[in-house]
Amino acid sequence: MKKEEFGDNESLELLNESGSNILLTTIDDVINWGRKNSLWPLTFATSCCGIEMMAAGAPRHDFARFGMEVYRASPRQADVIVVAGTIVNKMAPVLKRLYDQMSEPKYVVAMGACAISGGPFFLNSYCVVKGVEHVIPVDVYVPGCPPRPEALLYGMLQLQRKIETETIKSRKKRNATHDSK
Amino acid sequence: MAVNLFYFLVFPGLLFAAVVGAFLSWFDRKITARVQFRKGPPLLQPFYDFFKLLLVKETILPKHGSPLIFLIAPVFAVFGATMAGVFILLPLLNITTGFRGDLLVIFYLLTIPSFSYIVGALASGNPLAAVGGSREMKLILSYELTFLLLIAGIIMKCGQQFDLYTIIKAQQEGSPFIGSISGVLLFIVGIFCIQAKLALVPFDMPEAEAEITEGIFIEYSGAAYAMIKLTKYIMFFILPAFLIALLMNGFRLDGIHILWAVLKVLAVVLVITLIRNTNPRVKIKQAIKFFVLWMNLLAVIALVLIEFGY
Amino acid sequence: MEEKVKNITTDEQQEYVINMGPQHPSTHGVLRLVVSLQGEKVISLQPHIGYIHRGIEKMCESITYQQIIHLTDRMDYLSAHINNEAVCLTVEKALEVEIPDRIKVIRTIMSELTRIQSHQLWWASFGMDLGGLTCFFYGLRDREKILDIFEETCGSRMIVSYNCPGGLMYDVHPNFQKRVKEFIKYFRKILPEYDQLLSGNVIFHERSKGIGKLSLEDAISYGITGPCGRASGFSCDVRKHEPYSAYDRIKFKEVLFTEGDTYHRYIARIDEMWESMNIIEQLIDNIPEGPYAVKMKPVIKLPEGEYYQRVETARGELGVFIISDGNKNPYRVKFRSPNFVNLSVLNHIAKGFKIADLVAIGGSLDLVIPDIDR
Repeated sequence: MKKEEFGDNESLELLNESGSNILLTTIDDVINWGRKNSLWPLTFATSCCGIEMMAAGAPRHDFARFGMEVYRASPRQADVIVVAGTIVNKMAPVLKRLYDQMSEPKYVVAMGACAISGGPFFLNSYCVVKGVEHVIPVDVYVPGCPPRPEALLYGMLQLQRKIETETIKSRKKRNATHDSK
Repeated sequence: MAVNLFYFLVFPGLLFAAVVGAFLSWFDRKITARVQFRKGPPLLQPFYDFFKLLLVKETILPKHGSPLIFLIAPVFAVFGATMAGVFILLPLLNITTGFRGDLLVIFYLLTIPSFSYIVGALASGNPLAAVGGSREMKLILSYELTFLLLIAGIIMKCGQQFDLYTIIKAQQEGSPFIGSISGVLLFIVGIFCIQAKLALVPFDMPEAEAEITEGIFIEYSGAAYAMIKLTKYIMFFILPAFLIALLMNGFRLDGIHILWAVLKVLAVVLVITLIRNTNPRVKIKQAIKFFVLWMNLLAVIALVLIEFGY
Repeated sequence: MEEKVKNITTDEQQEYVINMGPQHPSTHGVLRLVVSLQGEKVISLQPHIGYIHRGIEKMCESITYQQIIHLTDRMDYLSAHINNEAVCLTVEKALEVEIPDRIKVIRTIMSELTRIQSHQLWWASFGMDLGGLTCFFYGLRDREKILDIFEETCGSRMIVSYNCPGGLMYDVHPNFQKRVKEFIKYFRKILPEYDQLLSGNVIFHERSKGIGKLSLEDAISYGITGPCGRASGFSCDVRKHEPYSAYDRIKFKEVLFTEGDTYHRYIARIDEMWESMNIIEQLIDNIPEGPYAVKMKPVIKLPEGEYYQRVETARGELGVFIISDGNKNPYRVKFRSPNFVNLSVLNHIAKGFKIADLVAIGGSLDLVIPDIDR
């Protein structure tokens, strides 16, 4: 997709402005080049959104075009965890553990209303985690119930753009802020 | 010495084999995607994957297990694959090594990656990796004999020559071995052996994703996994090349023959890819039966046919 | 149960325990199977559920009947339409509302389309469990075509929320009949291709025949319904035995086998797709004219009492049990979900097989985890 077609270029420029010196930038560029073009998602789905995630890998939408072909079953090799579906209290420690098992750098996409805020189960339910950011840090939110595969693709492209702006420093900062939470 | 190092590290060893293997791996993925009505990954995807794993990803060491062996195993795998690659590719590229009997060395070197995987898997201390390791062991036991019979067949066909260079020359002067009935049988056997050596469907039980979640590679991440990827790329090139050397006339590197060489490699990879995309995974018992009974039978028939000159 | 726990905790007899899940590609969600193995042989396994327990039944007690629809959607998301139908039928039965023919016919067609897309996805993921990755893409490719029809009529791809107590949310799209007919024509050509790709393969036959045998007695005593039960010879098709909606006016065959192994559970589902297409073809040309919804009160209050309705989802018999105390909210709602019951048989039929077979058996039961945990 072209740059103009994305809706939120201003916020991205803000991220870009917090730059560093030239040498580091070059290293960051090289690292980000590999990072962004090969994002392997973890096969992790709890409910309905998982089916749409499968559909995103299917012929019509085809993840593979953007380097997300290889769904990894082992968290060690995965780069991005797409939290597709509701996270309940019993699942939350498992999700945290999965996230901890992934190797750095790792990203989180919260897919669907349930993962963002609890969605349809926000009210009245006694056991749903109201938003996955209570458990792990989220990079991109993809709203919808369930989001269309196109929406997930857009979210993943946004994640790629976000990775582009990332530096070693900012990465460290991000992890530190989450750890202190 | 310098020449040897060049052979090993750059051409036709590590670098060349890895780059060609990566392109072949892209070809495989693209064909897979086309079979599945998808568009497929961009051309540089294998390189993105490799560099990401090597440079960016963190390598996590197992707490319960032996970290040193866990890390050394993939390096050994790369080493074994590269050595085998050098021995296979030098004769193919018309450079004589003067080493009579390299066929047997290649045979041993080709098993080093599989053994390293097993050692690495067992060192990781993961129960699923242990299951994968035991599966890989059973798989090696079943296909190695068949592979040996295949090589024996070639040696017989060529008149007791243990030298890959001589075998290729004999084919180029006469006719390729695949032109006979026994040659076709050996080719079929060879394709299935390659399939099992590369651990592709239907013989991908050691790393069955749906059963034991990557199996032997479950604990690998970062640079260590990049080494495994590198081994896979190299193996993906040298095994088809080995089959071409044994049965299909080898390469000739003058003029239009370069095109033929490329096409031959692509054709073998295409066959492998199509097999892998149209079959479900076999169980380990089925695999053993398949190799020990059927493939060995086929190979023995081929040997008998060679004895009678077909 | 106690014996199993003992088995799992001892490691003296060369047994070791592995966890399949909650994150595992072949459990299709967050089911956790604690499997104790001897080598690769499954000695016993214990399913742990609750990793996606969202408390839907409890939530139903504090919302109105119209709102329940949106929760049942998310229970068994692959049979979303049929789940909704079950709730609507229960409410309509309680209120004794006469439903016009048009609604019945459209509901039936949509249910059968749902069944086909569910079986397609099952076929896709079953193929993937067995290692045939291409199956996955074939199945999903054809599923998109049904989702297009859904999207045009219901406005959503998967979670359709198309039913409401008293009828449908809105009328069908003008293109509906044409699109459905096109799809049936297309899919009749494509379905034999599925056979060629997976069930025509020797490896598949060897991996599925005689694996995970479930006898008729066991099927009945465990209460296994749906294609799994029918593969064992248990005639349990609710559409046949207790017809609802428009199923009493059409002819279709109940797919029945007696072997009850993985292979016949597979064939039962493939045959059901053919039957579903037959049903749709009988109905699609004569959708009667009429209103698409009966005028209902804005606040539905069921009279005091207990109501039960069962329907046939893609995975078996779904029962909806509502106790009402006369308020606008139900007093208690209970779903008899087919997957929960089908899961209970897994230990029984997978014992003694290899871990690769366990994946095949689990795939052939076609479990949807949110439906188990609700």
